[in-house]
Amino acid sequence: MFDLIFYIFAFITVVGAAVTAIHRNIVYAAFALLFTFVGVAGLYVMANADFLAVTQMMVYVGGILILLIFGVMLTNRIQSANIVVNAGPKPVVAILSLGLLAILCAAFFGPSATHSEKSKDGKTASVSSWSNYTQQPWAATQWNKDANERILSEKFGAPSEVKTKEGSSGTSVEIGKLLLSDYLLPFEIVSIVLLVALIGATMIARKEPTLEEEALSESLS
Amino acid sequence: MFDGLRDLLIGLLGKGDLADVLAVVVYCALPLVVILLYALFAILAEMKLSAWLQDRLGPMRVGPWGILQPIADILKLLQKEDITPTQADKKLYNLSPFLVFIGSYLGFAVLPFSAMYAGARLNVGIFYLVAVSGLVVVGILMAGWSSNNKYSLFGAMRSVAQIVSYEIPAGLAILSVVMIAGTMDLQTISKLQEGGVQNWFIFGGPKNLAGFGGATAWALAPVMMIAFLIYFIASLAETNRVPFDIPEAESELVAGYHTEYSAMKFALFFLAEYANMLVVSAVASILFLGGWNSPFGEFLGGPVMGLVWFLGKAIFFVMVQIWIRWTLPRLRVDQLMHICWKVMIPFGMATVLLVGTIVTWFAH
Repeated sequence: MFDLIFYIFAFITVVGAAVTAIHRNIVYAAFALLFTFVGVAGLYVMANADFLAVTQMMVYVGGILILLIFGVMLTNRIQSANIVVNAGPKPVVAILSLGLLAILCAAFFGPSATHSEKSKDGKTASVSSWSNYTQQPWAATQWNKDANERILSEKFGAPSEVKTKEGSSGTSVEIGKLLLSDYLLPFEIVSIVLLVALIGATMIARKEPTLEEEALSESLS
Repeated sequence: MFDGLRDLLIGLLGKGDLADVLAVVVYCALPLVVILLYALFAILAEMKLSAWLQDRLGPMRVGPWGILQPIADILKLLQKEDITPTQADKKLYNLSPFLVFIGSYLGFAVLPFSAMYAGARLNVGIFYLVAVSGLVVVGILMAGWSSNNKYSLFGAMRSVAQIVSYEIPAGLAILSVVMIAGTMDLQTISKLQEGGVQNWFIFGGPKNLAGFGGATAWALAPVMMIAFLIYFIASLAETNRVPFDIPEAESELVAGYHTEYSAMKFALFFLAEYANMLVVSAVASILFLGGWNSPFGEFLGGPVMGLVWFLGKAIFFVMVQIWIRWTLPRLRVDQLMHICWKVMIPFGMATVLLVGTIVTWFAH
């Protein structure tokens, strides 16, 4: 069951990405990205990264994709835009792509990729929970329930029927703690970079008001 | 409740994959039943309330006092011809109603309808709910673009701009609740508010927590009331309801992004819109008004009454939305942006700051 769901999400991701790369109509390419993003979010869920999955949906589907589609739609004559792919002589391109394929295959199927399957004991659960999950398809729900019962028991002072389990806390708590302690500086730097980008975009997009427009806006206010 | 359902199906079908899969499907489809029944009710309520607010009688002919009118409307929609404009982009045109409905139905997965039922108890519940609304936005854009109609495209663009802007104040209001609760799981948030009306987050949250005294919680009450107002106003904008119905302003844009749609595809948009109204109302009642909790503590509590309380609170807010729709005029675009960026976001930021300060300094 778990494998089947994994392959469904992988299929959605790969097909979406392929359509994005291949399709001639740029609007279709933009909408196909939606499937890639949703598929990747699904894969994150299967890798036990619930917070990351939802953030992926929030940032990529709810933000970047919409901005992208807006950009595509607001561009004039986008339908007739002729996308010319010109990447140099064909033999060179073929050799480079095959080389990249070989490297990727080596990374996936080579000796270093199998280590995650070896550590079946629950110690590195976040990395190699695949085998655990195949045994209990609905473990995710139970896992989340434990984390929240722990929160409830902390707040209400541990009633007898609530069991607290070690190491079953949700990823969002850990990510929050890390972001505001060990990774505070990178976090703040990223937010300042984003703020600068925002102000820069506004400055570039802004039209300097003419004298008549200024007079008009003053008379209105 | 899932285990009970699975046991029942195993009893009927015997042990095996079929019973398991069927149990999951039935469990996931339960909110759909709620949506369909609620949509019938809400369509009638919209017609009747609008009539009463305008001193009319409303539909009176189908059934006693016209209560069967929504069923007649649905039968009519089912029989209508499914028209696709020749110049439309057929694939995207046909896909978008489903995308919009899927987006709003995904939200129901995490709603705790009662202490017994919540489709999926996600750790990131409310965050997930905010995130999946992005799918609705993409669906709206798809519908507007593929219709190949200027009214549709304008409607879609206005709608998307509005939804994306108002997600910020809504998110800030949600954040203030999450900071007090310390979790994003909606079932846990509901459970924290047990024990009567004074424990609801609109009045500052539970007063009986360990290490989080009554006085601190009461100090949060005025801030949380503002957060509630921010969330409610933003939710009106996110569902394109009056006074934020610029995306489907009839006098300018015919019907907005679903101008070209007819028959069941239009019905799907319509259903998604009503489902969205229920989701935002349900979130307002879970986050601020105790969700499935009875306002009298133990009295009239329990899982079954929980469902009644939950739906009652949610439908109350749907009624308020309808009431506002037939009372207020539409905003202009500049007023819309002014309210969002210059009023609600600063207030939202202040709420988050105040709640954060009180929670960190006084509670821990």
